[in-house]
Amino acid sequence: MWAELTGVDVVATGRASSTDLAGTGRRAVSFYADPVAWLVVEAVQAALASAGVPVTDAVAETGMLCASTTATRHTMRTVAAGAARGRVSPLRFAGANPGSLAGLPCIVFGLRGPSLLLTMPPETARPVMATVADAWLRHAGCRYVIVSEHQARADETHSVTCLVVRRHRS
Amino acid sequence: MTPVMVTGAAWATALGTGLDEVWGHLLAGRTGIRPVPATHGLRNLLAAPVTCLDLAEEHAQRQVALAGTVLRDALAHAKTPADADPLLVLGTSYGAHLDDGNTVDLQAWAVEVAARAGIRRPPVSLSTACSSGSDAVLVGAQLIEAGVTDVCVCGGVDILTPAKRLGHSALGTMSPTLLRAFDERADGTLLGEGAGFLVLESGARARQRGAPVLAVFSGGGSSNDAAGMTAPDPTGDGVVLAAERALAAAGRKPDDVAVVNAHGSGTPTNDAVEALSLARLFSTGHRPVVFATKGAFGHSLGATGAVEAIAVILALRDRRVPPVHGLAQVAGALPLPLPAGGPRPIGTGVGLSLTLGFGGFNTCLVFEEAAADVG
Repeated sequence: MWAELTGVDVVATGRASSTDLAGTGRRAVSFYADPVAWLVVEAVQAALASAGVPVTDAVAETGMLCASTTATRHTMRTVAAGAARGRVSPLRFAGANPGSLAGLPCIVFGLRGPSLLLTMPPETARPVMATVADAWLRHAGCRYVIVSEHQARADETHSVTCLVVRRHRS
Repeated sequence: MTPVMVTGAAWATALGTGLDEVWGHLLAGRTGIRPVPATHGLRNLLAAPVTCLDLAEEHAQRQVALAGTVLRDALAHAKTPADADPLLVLGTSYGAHLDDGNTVDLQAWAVEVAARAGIRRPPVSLSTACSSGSDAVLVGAQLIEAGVTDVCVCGGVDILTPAKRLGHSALGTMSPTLLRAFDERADGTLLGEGAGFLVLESGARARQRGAPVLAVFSGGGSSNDAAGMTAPDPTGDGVVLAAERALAAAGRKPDDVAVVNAHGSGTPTNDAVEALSLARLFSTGHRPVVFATKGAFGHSLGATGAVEAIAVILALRDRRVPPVHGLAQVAGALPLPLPAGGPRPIGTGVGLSLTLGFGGFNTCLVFEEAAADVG
């Protein structure tokens, strides 16, 4: 649908998937993010690499938009189990933030545009994402918007597809 | 962006419900923060539960009930016709999800709220931590501007739960004493809960039906700090970017601002970044009044942006702001006037509502008096 939008070009795409969330992501002693947020980072990285988009020259003008209905559920469940026992890891608590699907790529790539997670099925969220991305490109000083969709299947296969869009250059 | 009319609003807070009832308590300097028992050890038992629901209710049902009650109040306040079928835009941070290991779908609560309210269109739901309520308003306005709908009811909702209290206690963001935003003694935040909803309509629709107009939403902007999972960017660049984008979208300049509702969470880190950011934004010598409501409402997380947007609208209506609860001596970095001990009048101009969320989510909304656009 993005290619059909008036005035918007898709300039890059990326994809990442995992069948083992527990083994997905990066490890650091003082930093934790949910595996699905890392999967979004992986898909964004693939998109940025695929077409040589100069987003790295426009980090202050690049927005990050995501859609997922489950987001950080993996970490939320860990926190819920701990909370029932009266113990919550501060790193896991922060990493359970659903918005981190949009926030972590901003941290990793230095993006300072708007960022937003729609907690909606991607197929339902798509028209909303198109409107928001268009608004960001028109009014929020964005040159690029990175649009990511996360899908979780019943067999725990997680996949993220990612597009980089910009205003059409006439 | 094209201005959007705010034709209704409602909130539920630790100081009650009803716009003028709660506003009166704020102006009188009251707080809804009180001891709330907990099963497990916390840094502080003080919190700010809403007055309209029993804390003993099951979390997910509390979240839905709180949203539904305030949503209905907002639609009634706007005198929304029964056949209006508004688009619902809902934001929360964790809602009830962090306490329920069986959570499957983060949108299910929003779908249930819409169904109970008889709203036929699928809801738009979002999460940007403590900026969720603000982003719900901004997304609603963007959908109206794009012509997707001509009426939205936009809100932020979040409930007080054990996991959130434990999490902020473990993080050290919870104050061991009191929430004193921008005060020299500020040492952390205290959690609250609540809901705020705004009914947004296109100007054409509002005029056509003779809707009551509370305020004009003239623009909004957001940014990400790109700094850390919890820590804000200490330079304030992200906050300044969000405010500058909001003002640009509204066709305004910093000198046009009469009042700012700051995030004012009471954590020394947040207060310092926000003070620095506001000092940078208003570096020309223009001095709008800054106020904050978390000392009265607690930090209602995903609800706070919508609740604070309503506070800005009421401040513009009355041309005065309530005192910042717990403020006695302003910490050094904020060179703008803050009311302590009693209400303070504001000058003419627009109002900003600023929210900062974990994960670097900064959102700024610009409101103007209704008289500015509607005769």
